[in-house]
Amino acid sequence: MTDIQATINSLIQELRRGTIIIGVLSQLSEPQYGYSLVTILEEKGISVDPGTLYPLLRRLEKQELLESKWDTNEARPRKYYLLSEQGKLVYEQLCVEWRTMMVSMDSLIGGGSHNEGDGVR
Amino acid sequence: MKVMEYVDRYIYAVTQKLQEKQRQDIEQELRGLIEDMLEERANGGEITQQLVEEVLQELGNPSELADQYRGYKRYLISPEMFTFYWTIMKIVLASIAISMTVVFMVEAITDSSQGLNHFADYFATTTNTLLQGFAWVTIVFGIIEYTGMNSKKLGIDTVTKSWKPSMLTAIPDPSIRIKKSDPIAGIIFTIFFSIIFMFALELIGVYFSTNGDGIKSIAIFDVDVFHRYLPFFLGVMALFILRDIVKLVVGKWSVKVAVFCIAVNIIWLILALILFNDQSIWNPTFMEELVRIGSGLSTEVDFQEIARIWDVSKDIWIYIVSLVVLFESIWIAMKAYRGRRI
Repeated sequence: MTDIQATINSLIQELRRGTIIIGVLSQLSEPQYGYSLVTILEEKGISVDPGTLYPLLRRLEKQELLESKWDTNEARPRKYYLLSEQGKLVYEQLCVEWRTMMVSMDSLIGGGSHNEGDGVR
Repeated sequence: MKVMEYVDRYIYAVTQKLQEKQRQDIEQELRGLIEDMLEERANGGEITQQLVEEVLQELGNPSELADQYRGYKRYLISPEMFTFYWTIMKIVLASIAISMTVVFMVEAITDSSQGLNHFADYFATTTNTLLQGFAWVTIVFGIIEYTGMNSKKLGIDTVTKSWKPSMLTAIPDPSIRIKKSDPIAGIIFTIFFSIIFMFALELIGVYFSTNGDGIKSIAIFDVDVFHRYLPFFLGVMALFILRDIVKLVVGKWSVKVAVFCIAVNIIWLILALILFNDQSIWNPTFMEELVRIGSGLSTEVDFQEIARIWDVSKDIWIYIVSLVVLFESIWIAMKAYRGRRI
């Protein structure tokens, strides 16, 4: 049984991995630093490991989807990230893609079991 | 120990594996993160050692975090190359061990006076040579890895992004396929002869069985003179091994492989021409040694006849090498020509 649980866990992990990027982009129309982003996402039910998020933020910055700025006014210097113009476009496109995917998946998971054979062309 | 000691160690462990230019930035960001996490967990209270360990545990293994930051893993030999690396390594190490053992045994038979010395010598030299072989194979593959000439570019792994079915290579016709045993035997022979020429050139000689004094040999070459050519000789041997690796990778007589093999042959022929054109490579005291041994020989010898054969054989070597090179090159060219038509 533990084997099945382990398989399920790793599959869930895989599913999550793809969604994290959209989740991160969605919250960055306002500047956020890494840990505040962890907290926000956590509150909304998306748990992200900081060890995954921090390198991801750098990668997105390198891909020019995010811009960053150090804020040294506070007690501890923090690096704030914000969506770039390009990032906004990419985020919108990803949202469209996500919605389409959701509809398709819904019809597979929700509709498929009730109307067996309907999906066949 | 200070409570924050582990934090410093952790940050150091992550950032030292990263590139210089991003190190400071990541260090600052990571420190901010850890302090934020500690502050939140402490809930206004004191930051304890236990809390620090808990937070660091959650962030996980620093090498993995560094890998994430870098975006790729670092290898000396990557997993895709490892099988190939290991095959070559096994061939090279086995050939060295076998060659050294053969040399040792022949030396022990022809010179039984110092058996134990020989063995200690054999052991030391073999260990040294095995380590050298290991190091060189690893260095070569390390360079291949480092310069990004990875398996994809070498054509071992055909899974590339822009792959198309039309890129599938035709199954080689059996007549132009290079069997794996051919280049492997080639590597073993090359290493065997390199070792003979480096360590036991005096073993290449004429052997006599004498009355009561065991087997005696007279070297054909002048070891000192010959060793002046050793760098060039080993260079050609290295080319031979490279040629065999290419044959192993490509696996068929394509035109490129054939051209490369013939080019290596020509370089070898040029070296052989220079080498055998130098009369001083021959053992100058061959005849004197022969006369000295001659008295103890079990059979009657005609010294004049041998002297004549000795002079002629000096000239014959170059013809033998030329003929072998010529026939092999023609054979390769025919294979490649047939391969081109198919």
